[in-house]
Amino acid sequence: MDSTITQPNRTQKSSVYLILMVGITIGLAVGVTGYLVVNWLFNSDGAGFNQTVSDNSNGNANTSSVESAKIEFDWIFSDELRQSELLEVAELLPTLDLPQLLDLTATSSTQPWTPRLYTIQEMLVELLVQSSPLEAVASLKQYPEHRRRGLLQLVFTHWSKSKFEEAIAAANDLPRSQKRVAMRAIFEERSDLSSEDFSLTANKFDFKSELDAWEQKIAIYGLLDQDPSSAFDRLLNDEIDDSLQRDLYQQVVEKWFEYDGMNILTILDDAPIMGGFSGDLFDLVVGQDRVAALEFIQNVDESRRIGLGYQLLDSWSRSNTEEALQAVLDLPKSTFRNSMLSSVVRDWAEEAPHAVLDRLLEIPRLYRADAVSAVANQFALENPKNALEQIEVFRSVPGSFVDRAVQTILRSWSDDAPDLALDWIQSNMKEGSRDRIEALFFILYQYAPLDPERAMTIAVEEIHPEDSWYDLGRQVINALVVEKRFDTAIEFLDQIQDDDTLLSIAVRIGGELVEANRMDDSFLVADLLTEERRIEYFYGIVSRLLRNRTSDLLDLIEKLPSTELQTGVAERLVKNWTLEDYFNVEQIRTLKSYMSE
Amino acid sequence: MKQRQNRLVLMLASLTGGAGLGALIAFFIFPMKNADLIDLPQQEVPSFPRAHHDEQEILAAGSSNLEDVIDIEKPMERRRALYQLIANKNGEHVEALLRQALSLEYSKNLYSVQRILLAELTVIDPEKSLGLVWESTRTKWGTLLNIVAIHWSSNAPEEALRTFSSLDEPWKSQAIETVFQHQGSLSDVEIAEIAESFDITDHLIKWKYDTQIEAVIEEPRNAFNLALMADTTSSHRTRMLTHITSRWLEREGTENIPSMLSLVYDVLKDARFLWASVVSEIAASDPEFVWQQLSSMPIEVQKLFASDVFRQWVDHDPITAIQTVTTKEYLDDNESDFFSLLIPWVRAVADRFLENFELVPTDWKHSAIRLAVERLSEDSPPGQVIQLLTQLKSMGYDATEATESFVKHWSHEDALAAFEWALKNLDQKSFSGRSSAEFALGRLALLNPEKAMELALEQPKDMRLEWGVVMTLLRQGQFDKTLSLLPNLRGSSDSALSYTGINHLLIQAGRIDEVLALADQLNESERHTFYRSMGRPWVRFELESLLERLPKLPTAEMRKSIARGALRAQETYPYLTEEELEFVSSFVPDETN
Repeated sequence: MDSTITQPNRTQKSSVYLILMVGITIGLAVGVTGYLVVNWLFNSDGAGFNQTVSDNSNGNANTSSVESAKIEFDWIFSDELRQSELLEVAELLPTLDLPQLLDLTATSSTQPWTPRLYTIQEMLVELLVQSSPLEAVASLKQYPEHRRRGLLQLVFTHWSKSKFEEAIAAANDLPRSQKRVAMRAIFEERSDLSSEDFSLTANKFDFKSELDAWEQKIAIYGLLDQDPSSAFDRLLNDEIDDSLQRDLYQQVVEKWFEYDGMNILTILDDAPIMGGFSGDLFDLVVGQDRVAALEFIQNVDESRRIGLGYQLLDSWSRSNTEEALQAVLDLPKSTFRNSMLSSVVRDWAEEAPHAVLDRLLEIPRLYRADAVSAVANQFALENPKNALEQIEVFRSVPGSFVDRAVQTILRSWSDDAPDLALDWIQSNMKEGSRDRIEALFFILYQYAPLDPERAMTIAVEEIHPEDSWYDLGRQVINALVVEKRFDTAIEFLDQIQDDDTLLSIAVRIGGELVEANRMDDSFLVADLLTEERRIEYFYGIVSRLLRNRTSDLLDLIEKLPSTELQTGVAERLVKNWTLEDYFNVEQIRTLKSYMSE
Repeated sequence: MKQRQNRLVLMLASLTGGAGLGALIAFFIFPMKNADLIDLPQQEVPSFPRAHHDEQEILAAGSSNLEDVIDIEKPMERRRALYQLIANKNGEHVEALLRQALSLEYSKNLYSVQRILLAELTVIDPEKSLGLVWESTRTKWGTLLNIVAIHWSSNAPEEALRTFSSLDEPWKSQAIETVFQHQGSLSDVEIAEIAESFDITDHLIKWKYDTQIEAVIEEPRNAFNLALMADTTSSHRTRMLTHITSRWLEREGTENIPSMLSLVYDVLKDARFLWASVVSEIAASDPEFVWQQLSSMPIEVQKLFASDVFRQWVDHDPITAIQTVTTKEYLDDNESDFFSLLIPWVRAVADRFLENFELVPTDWKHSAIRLAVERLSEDSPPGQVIQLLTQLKSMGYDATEATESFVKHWSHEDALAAFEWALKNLDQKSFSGRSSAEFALGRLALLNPEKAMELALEQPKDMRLEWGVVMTLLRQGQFDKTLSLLPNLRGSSDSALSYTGINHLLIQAGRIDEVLALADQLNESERHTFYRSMGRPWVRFELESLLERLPKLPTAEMRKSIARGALRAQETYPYLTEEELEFVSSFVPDETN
């Protein structure tokens, strides 16, 4: 029974093995074939691309293959590209020919940002440099400025390694801003070359200024950690444009601060740094600790203390006015504290006028007038008439000195519309009041060139003997003189009642006439004066001419209508001035010849 | 039936197992994508020959040796090898490689490898990569920091900004700007919020303006207007203007200077001094040519730009420059502007002033002397300046103003020497001589008050030098020292008035008692003037103290004098409330109010 049973089992067993062997063998064949088919299918894109590359490598690049390459390479610009795939990109890109690379480079320059975009761009540029550095440089034009700089640096990094002089020559041909980037890349990359090596090359190509700047940078770095003060002196005294060394100055100042703290503020204040960034260096230092900076500044030499304080508070107020205000309030009482409070309050008012008005009572009384005036100035820029109304409500606040703010607004208004400002004054300010005369004094100066007749009429009508502290007529004539409208100004002289005022303004007009080469007309002005005032008039003119127009001065004396005038003017000159300071020997002799025996 | 079913199952199972095993074996033999590339025939890419044999080997073997990778010549192959080297490696491994790269001696491709490794480490661990930037050679910090900022901004811009906001300058600005420029994941609103939270809003504002300028950089008028209107710092505005000009010159050269200057005049003529950097940039490469071009332009343009062009010219060729502007024709037309040209010229030739002195027109020699001495006083030994002054004097020139300026400069370096020299060599009866000596002594007082007072008291009483010493110390805030020196003051007929300045400064410092005590040094008649002079500063700077102490002052005369001073101040600056005014007025009898 058992054997019967065993036999079939043995047969069964061998057939099982057979089935297994056949199955596995066929399975293996199917598996391998299947894998290869699947693999082939998955990689058919790449295979197609390789075919394209192969075709194009024979110099038969055409648009369709380029287009094909674009499509095939879309994935390298994908947002999803991972580090592990960069290796693959690095293997694929070298298979492209130059036109395809250039095309792909152009494509990359317009791609939306992805985390790996710049790496891909760098790879493309590296390949271009390898093939044609000049084409690589040219291809960068397509990139936005910030990216172009980075890639340009890469081009010259690689180029200078393989063909140093060729790279230098090419860098030299670039526009100035790009040349700096390229030269810097070369200097950084070729740190194996000595200063002499570079100098020898600089003799052949024109990059001495860039080389000097680079060597200076290295020298400064050499000094920076041990002796930043010397590094600063070195920067100040070199021949290199300061604006190109802003970064170096910043590094030196940062380091120097570690050694000497706030003490460097006064040295920075004295330093003749060109390039317009000395304020940035100041901010760099005080930005370390503004409260400490303020305390330091309050103790520096009084001749510079206020200036430094204003500079500190200007930037502090912009970033945090209330903190600045509190820091100043915390200072011990002093002239400095008062000046700084005034400054910070003004800054605050300019920055946030409405907030300042809301909190006016929180500001110490002494500085409210500054605040209201600064606010008024801000409001006046938008609408002076409304500003005058807005400001009026603060008249009851002690120290606000609204009258001063009104004057501020009117002056601002008169810059743009003196006629409207004038109308407002005449309608709203009390006739004969000191405030009204003070306002007219400035407004008429602006208004006179628009309508000289009306300006002079108002000046004459408004002024009264008791208002003699302001001379409105003189102000009108001054405005006309500044505008070189001398004839109109001369016409108005007869409306000046006060003799002393008439003389001084006549001297002004006469002097201007001589300087405008209208000397003869200055004699017409003299005719409007009394006989005894004429010597003073001409002496006034020659005193004006003394510093810079001695030839005209002598001409004028020569042309004076009487010997008496000539003698009088010459004698006063000799008596009141050190002639040698202004005249040469010949001129002094001429001048003395007019004097009486 | 059942047996047939079993065979079928067995067959299917073995087929399935075999297929799986086959696929597995094939996978190991032919990895998915590389398989195809390895098969690429080399001749298909003739323009990019494959790597050298050993480099190929390194690549094929996936070298674990950084130095081998550095030796690979071709940048892309080196990059491939590096990517292989760091494939699936963690941050520590990449960091170790980078550290190794940073510690190696110079070799040709080292820097490229360092940069690629830094970029990859930044993706994995930006903090570590930033730390390694500072371990590199300082000349490379800028470039390497840029790499870190670019790649960090790709992955975590907020983190990057947080870290960069605490860097020192100029790295802080550079890195922050790079993040703004390169990040692509944050909206404008998010960036603004982040910038505010890290206190870097000013950097954001500047970057935004720079970006806007870049967009219109080829339209100089628009770009200038944008820079002009920008709400930014003056130095940044200057940089923007210079940048626009520089790019403009790169594009158009200097062939049409009049058109350029006309545009600059149109846009910037009302912007106080902002044209200076633009005109200087235009003139920098060939100032003489630009000057000639400017000379043919309308007079208002010439007047505005002449000094900036001339300044550049002076740097290149001071002699030709001054000769051009000292012709009779030029001076006749431009005399009022000549001083602005004289300043840079004298500063440029100050160290050889006498050699060039004859080039200065007669009328301007006096000014030139002053400018030259001022310039030399800044950094020349005093002896050299004194020698120049002596020579000028022997040539018949008056150098009084210049000498005064020199003594003031010298006082900052050596106050005692400057004072003694001024005393010996300057006429102390002249204002200039006295002012020089007083200034020098003031400087000495800041260093050594006792010595300064001693020297002051050695001089004639009418020089009043001790008053200058005291005022200098007070202005400096050295109140206790000043008060100790006050008894040394030698009185005069106007002592009470002389005390006005002292009162003013002491009251601002809240030193009311000390001021009141000063009156003891005055006679009865002087005290009235003295107290009255107290009123104005007291009411303005210490109002509460005045209102509290006024009724308690010992005599009616004191109260009246001080109250009158306070009321006088009120006339020019309404400061007191009605009640306060009434209170203060109550101390002034009707007949004198």
